[in-house]
Amino acid sequence: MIAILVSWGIFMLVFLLGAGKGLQNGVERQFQGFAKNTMWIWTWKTAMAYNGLPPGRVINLDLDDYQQIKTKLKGIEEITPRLGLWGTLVNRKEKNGSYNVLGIDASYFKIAQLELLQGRYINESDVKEKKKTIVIGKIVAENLFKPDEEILGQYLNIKGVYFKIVGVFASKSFGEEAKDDEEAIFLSYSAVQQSFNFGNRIGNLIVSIADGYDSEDIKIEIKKVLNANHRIHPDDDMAIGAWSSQAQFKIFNGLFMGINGFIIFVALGTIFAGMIAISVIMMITVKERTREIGVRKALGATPSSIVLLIMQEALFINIISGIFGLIAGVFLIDKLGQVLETMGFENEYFYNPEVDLSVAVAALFALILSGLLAGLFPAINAAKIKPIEALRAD
Amino acid sequence: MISLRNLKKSYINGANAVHVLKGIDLEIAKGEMVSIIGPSGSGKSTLLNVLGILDNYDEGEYYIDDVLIKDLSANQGAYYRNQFLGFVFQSFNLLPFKNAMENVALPLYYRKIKRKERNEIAKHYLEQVGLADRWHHLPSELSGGQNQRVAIARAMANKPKLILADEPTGALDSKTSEEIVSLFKKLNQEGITIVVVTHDMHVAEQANRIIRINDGIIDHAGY
Ligand SMILES: Nc1ncnc2c1ncn2[C@@H]1O[C@H](COP(=O)(O)OP(=O)(O)OP(=O)(O)O)[C@@H](O)[C@H]1O
Ligand SMILES: [Mg+2]
Repeated sequence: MIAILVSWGIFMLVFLLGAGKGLQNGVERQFQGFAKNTMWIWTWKTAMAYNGLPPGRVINLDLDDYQQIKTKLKGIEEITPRLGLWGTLVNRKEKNGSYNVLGIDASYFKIAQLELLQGRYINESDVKEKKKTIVIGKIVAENLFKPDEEILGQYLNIKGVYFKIVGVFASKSFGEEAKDDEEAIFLSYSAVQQSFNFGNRIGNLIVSIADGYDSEDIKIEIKKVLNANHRIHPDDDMAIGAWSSQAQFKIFNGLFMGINGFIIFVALGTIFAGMIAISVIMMITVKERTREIGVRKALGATPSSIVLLIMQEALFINIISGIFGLIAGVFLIDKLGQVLETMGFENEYFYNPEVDLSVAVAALFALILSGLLAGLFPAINAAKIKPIEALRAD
Repeated sequence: MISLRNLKKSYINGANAVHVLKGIDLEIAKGEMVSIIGPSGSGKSTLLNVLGILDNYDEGEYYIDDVLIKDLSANQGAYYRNQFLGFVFQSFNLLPFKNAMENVALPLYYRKIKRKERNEIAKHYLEQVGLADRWHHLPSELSGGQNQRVAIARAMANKPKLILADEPTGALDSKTSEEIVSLFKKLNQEGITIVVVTHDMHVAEQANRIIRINDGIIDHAGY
């Protein structure tokens, strides 16, 4: 009975903790695409009239905005424009494909979580000299090149302009996001401006925020600059958009705290219920063994040897069954992870469930300890009664 | 060896006390085999339990080898029981989940004798009671007479000065009773002092001496 209870308690605990961890791992993975403190800034139309200007004006970020934010604002670690030709037909010899062609500054590669496979990234001199150099994602390379073909130094035709490949990269993200990354082609924003007639425009801005700064504060500062530059009403929320991973992260963090709190609550509840159940069962067990205790006393057992006997057995049962539950729980969580993987179960929010073994072991100890404590009092009582009374029991 | 002086014991039942032993004076010499008889409820078992230090008493004195047995601590009681006494009960009181050998070895466990030696000794005593080949049997796999013999082997295992038996043949048929009694007689001849409480006159008559108790006092201590 005790064995089943302890096993079950530990098993539930391990399983819950594991499932919770899986959820957490899943969501955390969602944020690996960019450094944790990243912010996107984009523009749309004005919603409000301001300074004699009508609403509905289309706002475009330009180089001045970029330079100002880059040089004047504190708390910005890296900043880069991202000027996109989304879904552009790219040709190479007889092969072609449609990819996102993105103009960025060299600092982009410090923000994005990419891994260089060959060659180099776009650097400052590419940007300064508006060189027609590109780095391509792994999928682009696989689509346009044969496996053993030399990639670096080759040219791609993007809307009639030839660009030289200087690097190939892979994504450090997972799933959809990795695919997006690896289907992209990066080149300097200045080359995009020049080759595809963007003039002064820079598309979006991507900012990584320095440690110790709050993304909300930075967002307000950036908006101030942009509102002034483009004569936008300070209360206009439509013209300038911003999204920060930190803010998002905070929401998820809150969610995690909630989930973790719940799991801890359930876990403590399980342990507590287990403790009470074990106490009751220990009392019954000791009661059932009263006659045996009487016999042992008649044969010379001292009170302390009786307590020790009961405690030893309780400890033994608790440890064996606790470890059994622990192993079963860990095993099941592990299997669950494997099954999810082999079934190709690609849930974005559940990934690699695992158990913090130290927590599980701590729980095991808590149950064992409570089992011992629970056994202690009935054991001491049993040890105290007169031998003849114990012998009379049935 | 055993000496009781004006020993009294009563049970408190709510408000009124039931006087069970009303002043017992008794001497039992070393090497004697004594039987105690008397009507039901006369106090035989109570007396035997006091002799066995399983229960306490209210007044008077109880000496074993001139050691006063009175108001002992639980540990002292355990020590004397283990060193001096062996018990045989009507209902055997063997531990059901231990085999014959382990049951016999139990008093030796409380003497802190190592398991291997314990089991050797236990087998030796099982041989003495004619159960050498049954050492691995559980009590449930043995007959009543066999169980009682295991219990006697257990009582012998720690070489007690005194074996106390409360109706050891009460649950056995007359033929088996006969065997048990002759076993006691054999032990007695080896020098162990034995006190047997019984209802069975055949059993009682095998003793050197019959003591009759009536309503808490000894009314006859003949030979
Ligand atoms: N634990 C107890 N509480 C109260 N009274 C008790 C208790 N044990 C025994 N008695 C009473 O003490 C008296 C003597 O009991 P005891 O068991 O010694 O009798 P006995 O001579 O052994 O009888 P029997 O031959 O039936 O075994 C009885 O009246 C009994 O009711
Ligand atoms: Mg009786």
